[in-house]
Amino acid sequence: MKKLLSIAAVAALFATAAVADNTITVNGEVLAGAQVSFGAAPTGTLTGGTFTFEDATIGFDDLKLNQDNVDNQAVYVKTNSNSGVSISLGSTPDLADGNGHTVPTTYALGGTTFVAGTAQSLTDGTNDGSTALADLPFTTTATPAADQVSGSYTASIAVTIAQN
Amino acid sequence: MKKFLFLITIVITGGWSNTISISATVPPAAIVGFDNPITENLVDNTFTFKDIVIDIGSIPLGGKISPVSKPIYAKTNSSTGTTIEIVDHTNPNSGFLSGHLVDDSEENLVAMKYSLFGSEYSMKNHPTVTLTAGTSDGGSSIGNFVIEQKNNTSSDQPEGHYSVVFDVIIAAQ
Repeated sequence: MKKLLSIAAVAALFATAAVADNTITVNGEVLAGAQVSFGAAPTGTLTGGTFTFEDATIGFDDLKLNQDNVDNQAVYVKTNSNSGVSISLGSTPDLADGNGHTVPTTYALGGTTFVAGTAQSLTDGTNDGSTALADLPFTTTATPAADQVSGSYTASIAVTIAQN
Repeated sequence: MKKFLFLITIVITGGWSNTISISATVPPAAIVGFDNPITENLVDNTFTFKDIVIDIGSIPLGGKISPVSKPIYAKTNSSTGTTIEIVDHTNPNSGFLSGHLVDDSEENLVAMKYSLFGSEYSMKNHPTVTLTAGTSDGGSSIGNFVIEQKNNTSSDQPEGHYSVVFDVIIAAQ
């Protein structure tokens, strides 16, 4: 009887030490953001979930008649996106004077001409934005006719930056 | 002779105070969880922590999340109370300090800190902390487990899913 009670006592001690392993899982998300600019490094700080293009003005000098007039803009990208970011143009308008006269104009990234609404990749991963993208200038080419009507010609393009 | 036999009878009767001894043990058990009162029945010798996934949401670039507080509920029949130990077994080889959220690449982290019952809990040392000093019916919160960011994230913290998994050990004191 004593032996039986002793076994029970030992068993009770082991029971007290019994444990079970279970888990706490903590999840969080860092959202991607990007800032893209022409000519100089982006000036702001990233905001998660926000993809920004810093407004740019491209100013040609006087356009030369009957030849390509080319402007190259260095492109800077600051992003924490692991998959990189892309740029697309809402339209690819010709320069226009408001009086029905236009100058044929094309836009390209690193030599690849933009099609309105079609994105082109800027980076395939994160980028600190401190230096311009190598080999990916934004090129605007305006080609006036030999008898192009003089005047001020402009165009405005909506730019969309998105995560790849 | 008769007198002698009578004396023997008395002696024998006096020594026969035999007894039946019955003993038994009710083993301790506990169920511990966050957020809600414990309604499950205890199971003998079983000390359970109810798995939980805590989503702290979006982590702001260059900033901190608001602290996330989880009320603790403990149901136990342990007369000596219960303890809790929380151990980070997720990234033992990552080289990061314990308890930090780590992204899928295990190259980036978001530094975190934790507290139990108002005192900072070291995931590195994972001490055993008293949950209850005795029995508890699990009907009301006994304290809080709080998750906070240790520092502001970098302004260009790589995007992605960050997580950590802790093993929780509940035991009788």
